[in-house]
Formats: sequence, structure tokens, C-alpha cells
Amino acid sequence: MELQPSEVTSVLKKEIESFQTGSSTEKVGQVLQVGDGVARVYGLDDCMMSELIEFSGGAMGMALNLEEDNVGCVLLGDAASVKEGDIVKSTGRIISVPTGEALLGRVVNALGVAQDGKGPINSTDDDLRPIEQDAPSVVEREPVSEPMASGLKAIDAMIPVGRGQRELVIGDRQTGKTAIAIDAIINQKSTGGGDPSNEDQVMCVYVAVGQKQSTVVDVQRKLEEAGAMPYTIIVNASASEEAAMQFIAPYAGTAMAERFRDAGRHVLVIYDDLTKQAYAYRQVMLLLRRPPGREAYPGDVFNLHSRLLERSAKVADNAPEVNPEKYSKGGGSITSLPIIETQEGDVSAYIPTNVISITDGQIFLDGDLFNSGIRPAVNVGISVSRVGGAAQTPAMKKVAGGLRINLAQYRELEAFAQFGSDLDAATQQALARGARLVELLKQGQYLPLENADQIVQIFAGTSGRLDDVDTAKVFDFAVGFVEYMKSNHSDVMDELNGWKTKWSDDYEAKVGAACDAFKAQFIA
Amino acid sequence: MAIAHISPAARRYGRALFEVAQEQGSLDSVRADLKLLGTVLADPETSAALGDPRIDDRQKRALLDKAFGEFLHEHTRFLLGVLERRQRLVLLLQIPTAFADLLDSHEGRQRGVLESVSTLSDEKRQAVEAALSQSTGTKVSLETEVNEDLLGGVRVTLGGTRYDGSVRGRLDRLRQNLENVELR
Repeated sequence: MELQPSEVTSVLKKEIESFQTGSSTEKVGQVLQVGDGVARVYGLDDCMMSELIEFSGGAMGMALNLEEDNVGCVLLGDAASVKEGDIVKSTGRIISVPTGEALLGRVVNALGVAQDGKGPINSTDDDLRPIEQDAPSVVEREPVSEPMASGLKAIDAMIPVGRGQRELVIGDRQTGKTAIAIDAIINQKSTGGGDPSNEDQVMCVYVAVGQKQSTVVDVQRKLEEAGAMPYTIIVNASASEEAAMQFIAPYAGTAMAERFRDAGRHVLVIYDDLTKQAYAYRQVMLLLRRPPGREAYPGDVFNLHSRLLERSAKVADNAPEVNPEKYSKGGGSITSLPIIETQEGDVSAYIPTNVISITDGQIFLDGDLFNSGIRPAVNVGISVSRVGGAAQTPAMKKVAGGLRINLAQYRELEAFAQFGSDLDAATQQALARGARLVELLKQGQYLPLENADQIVQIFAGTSGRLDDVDTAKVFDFAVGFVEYMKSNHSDVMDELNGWKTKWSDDYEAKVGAACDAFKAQFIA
Repeated sequence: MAIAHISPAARRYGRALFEVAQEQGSLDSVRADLKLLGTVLADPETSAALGDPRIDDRQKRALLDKAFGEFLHEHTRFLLGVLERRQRLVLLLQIPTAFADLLDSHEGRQRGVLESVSTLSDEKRQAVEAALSQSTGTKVSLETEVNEDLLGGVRVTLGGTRYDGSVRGRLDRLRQNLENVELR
């Protein structure tokens, strides 16, 4: 930013001219007790819930407990500067964050303050939005209908996610949960060429809660390398920050996403992860002396997640007519991929069951699958997408129809695989098919595939054309086949990339013939 | 500092005593008793002794009885008895303030602090009190305090509200405005 001395002078002049001799009135209180990131403040009679309050040392806080003669609040930022007896002022503002395009490509903390050393966020007071907002109402919504392609075969074929859906990614530590989220962000580049000014570009918000700072840096670097940062905001509340910052970060990220949604854009939000957010919330609430419930979480831990995830929605096209103040354009959406980390695969613990019941399905990642080399380690048996089917592209739906059943049969028969040639032909055939499909669904990290690439690969598998290809070579075959299709049948591939393209007998014949031709070449 | 925190327990004892005194018409003598207790207990040594956990409440009560026994109204003496039995004699440090607060709100009075750079004359203090009394609709009484940080003007803290007419406050607001100015 360039400073003009004359400009500074004129600003100063204006301010000094309007320097009033009048007095101000403000509500004040006094710190009674401070420690562990929470403070109790006496006074502040007219304090509002979630109001931002200012300590005399410059630190900020958020009011969370409004009691008879004191206010319990959490400290945001420099907690060490707050002392007992300090004067506290209320600001009359509900805690808000800057929103808008200025944040794209940036890394900010839960209050929207830049953390990436690229200078302050260039936003005005008009860009501020309260972090807690009402979810879209019934009349403002519409069913999920457009695909939110993750670029991963295992997900787009069997657990399709639609725009406006909440799909939980759940699994133990080190099973590739973040990898799925990052791949999904990278894949959004294909929607609008990575240019945020393109109306079709899906924006992304990655909310990192309680992560190692090094992990966040890694994610940022990977997104930059893939050219995904120009349409992505990273909201970072790392493990070293105050628990309160970790607990508000997902709301802040959602407020930023809502700005785009309400302007008719599509947004993908990743909450990585909500388990740590629940930990942070539990810590804050116990310190504020709210009564502990199951697993020492406060009673409203369900609401903590449900009110957050309800804000992910597909907005109806006519929403601006219903609520012109909120929506400038209809048809926008927020798709969210909340992440939950389980312990020892226990999905029946408190927080996982809560979030499973809130979301529209889950992608379960299995440590055993991961360790046996099946990556992404999606456990197809217990992963579901409750609303995404309506959003799957018709061609993919047709081609991938048999995939789930084939894999289920394979898993059932897998135990008999060791009997080898003693099995009947049908069983052997099911086993051969299943083994190849499992191979086919493997996919490298940071290599999301387009819709057409996925369709032709899966077609090769489900049509049985891979049954006589050596299992170890299936992966190479799939990659080679896509190359072959792109160089020899680019028209078919372009058509299949379209969302509305139906899978006709014509395609079946064309892609089938191409597959046979490629196979002859591949095996030779 | 005008804002003093009183524990909820002290408030409850204070309210109970106030209600008893009001019902039985002993408000005036109880008020005088508590004023006396408040003044005596404001002495740091006395208050330290009352808060000392090594001395048990029976001894503290005996001392208090010996010192004030015959001067106190029976309701005040009953309060001492209840506090001793419940081992809450330490609350006696806060009860006079809690009682005074109740009395103030009962009689429509408000106390506050008037801060200024130099000592203010009584007339000026009364002028501020009159102005505030009129705007708040209560009888405002202010204690004066000298605070050189203000640079000039006055600052009043009344209840949870601060009326800032000081030069320091105006400079702070000016700084905040300048910080918020957007340069294009």
C-alpha cells in the first residue's frame, strides 16, 4: 500500500476538526478471576451472548456465560496480558470475521487476521459477518442435485457427494482423511480453471482445528503447487492457539463460505477436524464450570456440531425472492466435508455417533485397508451417501451400478480365496473380478481424475474386461487406457465429462471396442 | 474503584438481614451497626484477623461480642451467631457493603467514583452529582479520586457505566478513529 503524505494530512485534518469535546459512555466491568484462557468479569450488565469484549491490556474476549452478577468469557489472543482487576469494556459487537474475495489464497486465524505474512486482509467493515448465523430456512433450500466431484474413483463411483451435502470423513489417525479433503479441493480446479472470478469455480475453505502447524504449512504448500490456492481460504486454529480460537474456527470458516453461497456461488468447506473442536469446546466449557455430561462433554455438544453443519445447504434459485436481504443470487451451496478422528476404529463413541447422525452420510477410512496398500482406504461396506445419488452423473451411475454389489460379493467370498482351484467357476470368477476392482479403485495422492477418466476406467472393470489382466497390472492398465482414450477418442471423453451425458448403448459399444483394442496392445 | 465484587453468599446474608430489619422496623439501628462494623473491619489488621483460618470462628465471635456486644442491635447480634454456626464469619468483611448496596437501591441512591486530574472542589462535585442524578433519575453520590493519567477533564464510573469526558479518553478515541481510516 502506498501512502501519500498529502492524503495523511487531509485525514488528520478532518479528524482533528471533528475532534469532539463531548464525552462517551461505555459499559465497563472488572476482571475477577483469570486463568487457563477463561476470565470471569464482574459488571458488564448489558453484555450480549457471544459479544466481543475488550480488556484494558488490548486482549479480546468472547462472552459465553451470562450469570447473575458476572460474565464468563473466553480469551482470544494474548491471554497473558490480562490481569485480575483489569477494566473490561463491552464493544456491542457480536464476534465477526472479514469475508469476501480478499481472503482467497490467504491463511487466516479464527478471527480473520492474516497469518501468512502477506500483509493485512484488505477488507472493510461492510465485509464483517458474525460467525454465528442462522442456517437457511426450509423455503430457502432445495434438494441436492449437482455433483461435487472429489476426483477419487472410490468416492465418486460409490459414495457420490452432491453440492449442498454434508459428508463425514471418518477414520483412525493416519488413514488418509486429510488426503481425501485435499484431493477434493485440488479437483475443484476443474470446475472453473482455478479462476475465482469464473462463476462456475467452486470456492474452497479449509478449516484446520488443533492441527500441527507443520501439517497446515504442508497443506498450504501442496495446494499452492497444485494451483488450488487462488480459490481457497485456509482458516487455521493450530494446536498452539487458545482453545477458544479452536472452537470458533469452524464457525468463522463457515461465515466466510456463506458470503459466497449467498451470492450464488458453490463452496466446499473442509472441517479438519471436528473431534479437536469438540475437545477445545469441552475444555472451555469445563473451565467456565458448565456441568459435564457424557465423556465430560457439555450438554450442548450435539448442538455445537448440528448448528454448524446445518449451515451447509443448497440454496434454492428463488431464495432472493424469499429473503432479498440475505441472498443476492440464488442457487449457491455449501458442501461440507467434516472430518472426525476415531480411536481404534470405534465409530460408536460419543462425538462420532453425533456427527454421523447429523451428516448426510459418511466415508469410512479403514486402517487395515490402508496398511494393506488399498489407498484411498475407503471401507465401501459401511460408507454411505444418503442424498448424493441424486447428484451423480447419469453415465457414472449406470457404469458404477454393479460396483458395490461386486465388491460386496468379493468381500464375502474373500475368506475362501485360499482354497484356490477347489472352488467352483462362478466363485472363482467373482473373486477374480473383485480383486481387480479393488486394484482399480486404488488411486495416487494429489491425482484427482476427471469424470470421463473415472467412467471409462470403471467401465473396463465392471464390464469384465479386466478379468484376464494380471491383478498387479490393473493400475497401469487403467492409467494407460485413459491416455489411450484421450489421444484416440477425445470426442467421447469430452462428452462423458459433461454432467448430463447419459450412458447409451452407443458409448458402451465405442468404449468397449476401444478397451478391447487397448487390451490387445497392452498385453502384447 | 467503584466496582467492588461481593460474593453471592455475602449478598444473601445481607439481603436476609435487610429483610428482617425492614419487617421488624429495626432498619435504622441495624444500618448504624453495620456502618460501625464496616469502619472497624476496614482496618487491615482486624480484617486479616477475621480472615485468618487458624483462629476458629468461636474465638472470633467471642472477640467481636466482647468488643461490640452491648452496642449492637439484637438482629445484628443474631447475624453474628448465624455466621459463627455456619462458619462463615469471614463474610462479615463483605456484608456491610452488600447491605449498603441494598439500602441504596431501596432508597433510590447510586454511588460512583469521580476521577479528575486535580482535587475537585465540593461545589464541582455536587454539580456533577446533580447532573447525573437528573439524567439517571436516582440520587447519585460520588467519591472523588485523583488520577493524573486522565490529563484533563473528568471521568465518572457509576454502576457498570463509565461516562468518559477526559482528555485521555478523547485522545484514545482519536487514535482509534485514525487507525480505522482507510487510505486508498
